[in-house]
Amino acid sequence: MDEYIVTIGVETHIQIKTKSKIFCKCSTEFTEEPNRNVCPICMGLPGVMPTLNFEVVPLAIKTALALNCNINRISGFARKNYFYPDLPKGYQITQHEFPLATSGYMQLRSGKKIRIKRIHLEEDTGKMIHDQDQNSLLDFNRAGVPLMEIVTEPDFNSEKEVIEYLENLQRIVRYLDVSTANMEFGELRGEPNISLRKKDDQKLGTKTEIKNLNSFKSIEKGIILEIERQKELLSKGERIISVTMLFDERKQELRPMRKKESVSEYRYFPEPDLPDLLLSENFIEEIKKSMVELPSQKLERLQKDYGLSFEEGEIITSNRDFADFFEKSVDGVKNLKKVTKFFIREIPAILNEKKIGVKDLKFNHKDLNKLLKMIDEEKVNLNFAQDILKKMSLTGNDPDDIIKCDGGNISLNEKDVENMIIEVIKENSKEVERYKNGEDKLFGFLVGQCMKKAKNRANPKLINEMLKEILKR
Amino acid sequence: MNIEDLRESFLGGKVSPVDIVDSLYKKIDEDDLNDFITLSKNIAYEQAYLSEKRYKKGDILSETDGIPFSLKDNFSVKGLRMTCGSKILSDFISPYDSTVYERLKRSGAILIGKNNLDEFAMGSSNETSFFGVVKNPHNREYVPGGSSGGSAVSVASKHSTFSIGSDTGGSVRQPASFCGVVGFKPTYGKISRYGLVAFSSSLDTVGIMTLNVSDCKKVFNTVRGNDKHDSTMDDHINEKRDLKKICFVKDIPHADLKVIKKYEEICSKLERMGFSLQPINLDFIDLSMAAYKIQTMCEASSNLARYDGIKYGLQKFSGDNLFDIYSKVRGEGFGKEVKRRIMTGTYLLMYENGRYYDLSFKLRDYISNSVDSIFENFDMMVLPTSLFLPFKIGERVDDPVMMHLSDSLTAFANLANVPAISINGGYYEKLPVGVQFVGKRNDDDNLLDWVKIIEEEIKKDG
Ligand SMILES: [Zn+2]
Repeated sequence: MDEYIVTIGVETHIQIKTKSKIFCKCSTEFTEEPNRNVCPICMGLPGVMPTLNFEVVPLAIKTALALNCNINRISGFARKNYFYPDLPKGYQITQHEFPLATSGYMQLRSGKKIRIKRIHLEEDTGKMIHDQDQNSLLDFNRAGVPLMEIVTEPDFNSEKEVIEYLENLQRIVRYLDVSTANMEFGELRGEPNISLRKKDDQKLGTKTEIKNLNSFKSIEKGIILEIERQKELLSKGERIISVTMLFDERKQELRPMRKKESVSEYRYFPEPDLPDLLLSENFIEEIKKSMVELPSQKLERLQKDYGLSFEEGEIITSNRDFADFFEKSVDGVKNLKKVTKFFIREIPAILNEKKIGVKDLKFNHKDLNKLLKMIDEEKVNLNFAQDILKKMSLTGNDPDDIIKCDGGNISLNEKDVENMIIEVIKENSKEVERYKNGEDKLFGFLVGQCMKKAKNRANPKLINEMLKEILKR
Repeated sequence: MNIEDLRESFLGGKVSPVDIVDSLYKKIDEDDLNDFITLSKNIAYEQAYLSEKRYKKGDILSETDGIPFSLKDNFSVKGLRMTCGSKILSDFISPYDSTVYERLKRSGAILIGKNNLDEFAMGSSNETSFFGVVKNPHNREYVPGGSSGGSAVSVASKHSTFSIGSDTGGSVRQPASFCGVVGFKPTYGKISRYGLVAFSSSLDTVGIMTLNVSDCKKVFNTVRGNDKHDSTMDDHINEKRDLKKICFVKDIPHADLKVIKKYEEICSKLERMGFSLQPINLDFIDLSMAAYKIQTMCEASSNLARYDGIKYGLQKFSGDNLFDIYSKVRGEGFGKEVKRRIMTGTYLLMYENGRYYDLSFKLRDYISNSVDSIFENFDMMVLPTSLFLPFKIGERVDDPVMMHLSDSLTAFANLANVPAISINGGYYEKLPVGVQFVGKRNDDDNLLDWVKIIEEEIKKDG
């Protein structure tokens, strides 16, 4: 079989987080009640005119800057004409010839740069739903919600690269507070286009597009299926036809869109109801200054400042709030290596289990900082600290209080520890005998027995030292 | 009665707004010219009653308080039917107010009803309306012009003191000429288009039809000014200055000799007034017609896409599929002329044809520059409003070439984005002949002031 080179480009629609829609004053808030957030403008009634909600502009510019794009000082809106019931005006207002931003890139982990062709603003369409009685129902709550479309050059060679790109993109817009970018709510929609060519061919093959991909998993699966489909056709000597494929989430398969569902000719022309979007250099500069640290910058800094591995850094910077929480919580903590795992395993587990964000935790970074410092000072061991953390997450109590409730002070006093060790030695006389006869490894066993008896209430270092002392007697 | 006289009568207590509304509805009914599609009696009596109270109390809202007016039926009024002269919207009740109506309502003016028009303002004889042709009050067998035919007739027949129309290529000026009233098209962006149903968005302007220029100024001052709903506005206006240099057009191909005769009379009158008239050539007229047709048809094809029978208007849900529903609704809902323009416009925007639309913008720039260069040397241009006099109803319905010429002396002002006004220049065999004055961009106030003086001079001679 021939070897093929896979070429993929991606178009991504991201909902921009604003209070009102892009061309009217209706709320963008999600509501279950259909056609609640609508007005004559977003319903496209006769005679209405759009006016740009300027709130969207700085948000899109931030994204464009994060993707190293040129911001165009002059951009303009256009009409994309096609008929569909969910499109109230019979055209969508978008940017065509003069997009907001062009020529950017995103660097992948491998160092490869994915070129960003353009970023433009547009309005979302409504939604058409089919009920069980074969009725088509229309909901225009989403019509006019602001979107930005980010288009890459065909620079990807595998589904893995596409996923990495989209995950980064999601992280970036969340960091910038530009979008909540939840794929399951359609706030981030990735549409890959795929073509295959033989290794020694210079020209790209015919591309197909995949739509209706509502999760990273679906995108990955969709791309794999489409590559397979094209490979099979090509190896049979058949030609690829330019089509749009729809991914069926339930059946996990692709089907080509019916001809009538797809439009190839949009009759674009400049939107006469909106003036050009003019941006001053100053305005763009101000936005540049207000940019927060981007995920990739934060990752690099955290690795350097806290000695994190790349993987640890990635988990901690996966979300801006979480990274901030990490930095505040480990402030002044000496033994970072020891406590990092709390942020890799324990805390993410709590967040996942409750499906919450770090801001919704019952304890704050100050309490956690206290706990981590106790580990530093060896007032508690790691196991005990894990228990305390769990209790903090359940009750929101301060670590000191939890320890008190758990049976007194952090450590038993020296006399208590000594008595306890003497008890353990009595109970395990055989092992003590063997240890004294040179079986060094039994020391660990004896420490364990002491710890068990102390129920985490004793400083492990103290137990260690005292046990050694007493055994020497 | 004009605004000033009507106001005097209200102030003197000779007549009340309610009396006026009563008499207007009676006259509309008696005259039977089909100039209204919808009469807004509930609104009118309520507004008249409130206005009457204000006059009694002496707290009058504005110059137009109590003045009865009408709107071309492509302006939106909350709770009223808005048909655009089309079957596809024949049952459509609008849920919002256009900015123009809102401002007039706030000024205390009284809405009498919605005027008949060519379907979606596409036409120059008011014969394309789904609600039937409007009759010219000067001779019932003649067309009133279009597309604001109903508006022109209602003002000429004193069914309303003024009417708001729309002018995309001459739709206010040409019917004004045919009916012997004033029709003013301001510079693009002076009056909000919010609530005016779009025909060709980059050329559509809100126009004013009145009995005289002085009324026109009053109405213009009531409705003008920026609006947060229309971001294509610009309220910049040129400083006041005196009228000095006027130019006239020497050769006007295709023009009816009767029109030329009247035009020459007006020109000599202007000379007698002391103005020296210099000739110019309008050699861009043919190009302007090409640009106008391409732009209006392309934009219309998109602007009228929303009438798909899904959310409002004519509905036919019996099709086999979506395409069926669309073609049934649009096939039945739109008239011949509208369909012709939508199809041509769609074709002109498809694939490589799109270059025609781009080209029309280049032409538009060229025309705009040509007009600008004329106004470097002149303050004002005088020319006929229409190449011909009103014609008989039905006479030219199937003569697209003649219909095509209808806009030829008016459309360039929309393309070049300059203000223009048509006033009555006299009569030829009892049919009115209009004369048009065109000003420099943003010279709207100056133009109205100048033409007001000329109008008085023309009226003096009778
Ligand atoms: Zn809305």
